Amino acid sequence: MILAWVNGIYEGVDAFLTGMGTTARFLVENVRGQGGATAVTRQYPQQPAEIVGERVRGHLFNKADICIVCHACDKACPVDCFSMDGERDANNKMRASRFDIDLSKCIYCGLCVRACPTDSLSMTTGFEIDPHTDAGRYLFRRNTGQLDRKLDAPDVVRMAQLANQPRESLSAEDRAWLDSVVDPAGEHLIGMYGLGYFTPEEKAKADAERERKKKEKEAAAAAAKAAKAALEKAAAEKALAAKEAATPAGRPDGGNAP
Amino acid sequence: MEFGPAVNTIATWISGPDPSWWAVGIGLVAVWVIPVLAIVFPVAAVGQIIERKVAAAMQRRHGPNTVGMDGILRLVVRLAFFFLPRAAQDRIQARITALPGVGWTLGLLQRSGLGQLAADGVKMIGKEDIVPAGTDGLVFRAAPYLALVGAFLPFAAIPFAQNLVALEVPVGALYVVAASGFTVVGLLMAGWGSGNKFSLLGGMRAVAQVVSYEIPVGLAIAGVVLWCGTMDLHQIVAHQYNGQWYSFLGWNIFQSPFLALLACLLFFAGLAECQRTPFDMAEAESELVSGFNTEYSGLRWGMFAMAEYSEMILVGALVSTLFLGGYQSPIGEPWIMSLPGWLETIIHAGILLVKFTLGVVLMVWIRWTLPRFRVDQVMRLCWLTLVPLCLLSLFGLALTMLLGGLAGGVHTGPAYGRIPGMQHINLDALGWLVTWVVPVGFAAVLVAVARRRHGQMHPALKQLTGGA
Amino acid sequence: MIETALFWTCCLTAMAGALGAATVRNLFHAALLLGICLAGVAGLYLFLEASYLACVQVVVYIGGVLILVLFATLFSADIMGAVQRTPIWLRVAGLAGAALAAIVAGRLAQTAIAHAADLQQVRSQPGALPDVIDGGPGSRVIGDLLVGGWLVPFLVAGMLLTATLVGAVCIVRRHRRPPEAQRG
Repeated sequence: MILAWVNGIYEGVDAFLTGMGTTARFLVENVRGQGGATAVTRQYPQQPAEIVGERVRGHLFNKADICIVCHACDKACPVDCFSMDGERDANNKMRASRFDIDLSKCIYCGLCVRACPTDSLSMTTGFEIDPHTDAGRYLFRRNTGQLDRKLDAPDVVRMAQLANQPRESLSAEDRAWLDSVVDPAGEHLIGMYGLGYFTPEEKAKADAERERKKKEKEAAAAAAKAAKAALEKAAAEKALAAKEAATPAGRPDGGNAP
Repeated sequence: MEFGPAVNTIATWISGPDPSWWAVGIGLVAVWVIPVLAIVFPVAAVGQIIERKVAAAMQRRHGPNTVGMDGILRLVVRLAFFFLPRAAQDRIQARITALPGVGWTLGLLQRSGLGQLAADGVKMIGKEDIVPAGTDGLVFRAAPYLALVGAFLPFAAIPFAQNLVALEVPVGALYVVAASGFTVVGLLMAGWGSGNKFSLLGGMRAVAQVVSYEIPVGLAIAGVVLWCGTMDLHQIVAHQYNGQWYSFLGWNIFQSPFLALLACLLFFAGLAECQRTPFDMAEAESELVSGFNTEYSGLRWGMFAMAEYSEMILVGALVSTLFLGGYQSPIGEPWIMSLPGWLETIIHAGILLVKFTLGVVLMVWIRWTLPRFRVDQVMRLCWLTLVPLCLLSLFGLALTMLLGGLAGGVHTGPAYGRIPGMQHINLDALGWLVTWVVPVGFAAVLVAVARRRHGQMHPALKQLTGGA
Repeated sequence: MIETALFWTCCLTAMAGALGAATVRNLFHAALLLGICLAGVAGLYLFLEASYLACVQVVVYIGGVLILVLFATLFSADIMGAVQRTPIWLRVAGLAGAALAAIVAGRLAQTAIAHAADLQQVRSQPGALPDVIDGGPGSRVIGDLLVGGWLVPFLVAGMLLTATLVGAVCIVRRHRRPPEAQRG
């Protein structure tokens, strides 16, 4: 009996030390990894979310050209995030003149998608509504040409301010800028990829569509990068010239920035 | 029981010889309240950050790394340059952040999660203090205070430095155990006063556990008292000084394997006393929502949390004082004693701080290693493992002292500090070796025999793993 | 002055706690008030310079006995809403006890006042009183006595308490056959 007791204590201490060793190894590995490289957590807003499931319920996407403004989604919505207006078009069909989804209310339940009789409403895999990134593009009406234009946070603020004022009171410059980012006649609340699908055929179609968009986007990104590099180079040259011009005027350090 | 020398010094300095009672009160505040506030409180607060960071690192996460000092810097700039437009304030903030070192420091503070500390504190203070309808009013309200009192009273007797002790209690070791006993009354009051069955169950579990684990704690402390011949924590610390530059070898934990075992047992029993995982039966969230503090919110909940971390620190400080040489440095004392008094005090307090912070880190490490025990396992561990081991160690310790005394190992140790000519069990190298080799060898043989006899794999497990 | 005030605070705390424990209806509150009474008594020990006794008082009575009382209270069935009615015989007994306590207290006070001068004189002579109550060597003397001349009574008392505990467990244990399947 005493021997069994001693053996029990030995096994307990052994198991305890093994466990402590394991956690200590994890601790050391994690601390030694550069900037927490071994931590598996993604720092989401700073590190982009690269892996998004295909069936993620992201933003709502409404194909405005087939929406009949039947308010079925509005009735199905548990949080009242829809508000819409409609008007008759030339063929006497009901079309949306305004279709707003308040994404700060949306709970991404998908009930509206189930309710939609024309399948114009679907959920995309996009879930980015952080206003510091490019949320503004989802929150205002934009046409196809404006979709991929990246808006920074000040742009979103400016857009919101301008869009809330009567159009007549805007200056010509503001109006031109607003027209360049918002198209009142454009599609409404457009996600980047219209990926709602419910059948294998639709999935295949959506996959092909996504591939195409991805390629387009990559090409556009490469072009933008090249343009940006050229722009930066020009700016650097300009700054250099300016500095050279300013130095004799008594500011040799060019400001006290470290 | 009398006040510490520093208390009397301050009191005399304020109101002359034979100081009045308010001068003594001021001295007590200066020596007890301020060190507790300045040493224990921040460590207790930072302990939560340590806990979260260590836990995160062990689980391959980041832990708190988002709340930084930017907000505070922004607030300061807004207040200091309120007369400037917002954009100018932003530019000033950017300039400050860009100064050499400032941005780096801010980044470090952010990554270390220390900003979270301030945020948590503000959140906790700002939260509503809810007293639910079915509670037992005064009992419910008073419970956190009692828990906090039980966590802070014992620090009065812990010597942080030669002179930095508030109460000179001749029975200091006993006083610490006694004063920390108030906490459990607080837990029980919280459990009852909440009028919630989960709280009640949590309180009852806490009490059953703490009452049981008082016994190994008491026995472990009794071992030190037996070895040092005194309960005065100051004298116990002084007893552990061997006068050499390698003075860490004089610490109790290196004196005898039985004392080392008692140190481990005291640490684990203390872990159970402050209701930490794996012994947190009282707030087992998978069974009892949150146990005794289910109904608490805001600052009262914060008091319980603070009491828990203070108790962790207390266990660390107690183990350090009893077994790890207290505030002494491991590399001899003359270099500290030759410094001016205030510097000596600060260095000694810092050394104790390092020691008990290591203890706190060890507790956090254990917490994130072991899963929670079952109630019966907790009791079994106490009564069938810790208590017998404590008794065995006490017996072995007494035997060591008896034989060591017979072999002429008792010497008068070097005078240290204020206690000249103390009795030491001052073994020479051979005696020390014998003290260690014999019990450890005996234990090794016993374990080997036990492994041979009982160490086989369970038959079912053997079948499962194919006899590997 | 402050010592006198603290002394009376301790006295009043102990007395108020005791009075409350005897009169309060709620059993749990009564137990807590008993704890306040015990803490007051511990404070009185401190004024007698018996810090060892004070610490033991707190460890044993507040940390041990009081906790067990509270624990038993919590385990009692239907304690939450039950109003404890005091039977008439207990009231009579209580009054009798109070009268007895008053007589004893009066006699004690009389003795104390009569002998205060003597005690003062004895105290002023060094070495006249054994150094039992002092904190340091006093606890040593108590320890020596407990494991010296009074070892057998000490152990017998311990045995008695253990036997009481075992007996209590035997009485309250539910009698049922241990299931055989659990063994082996």
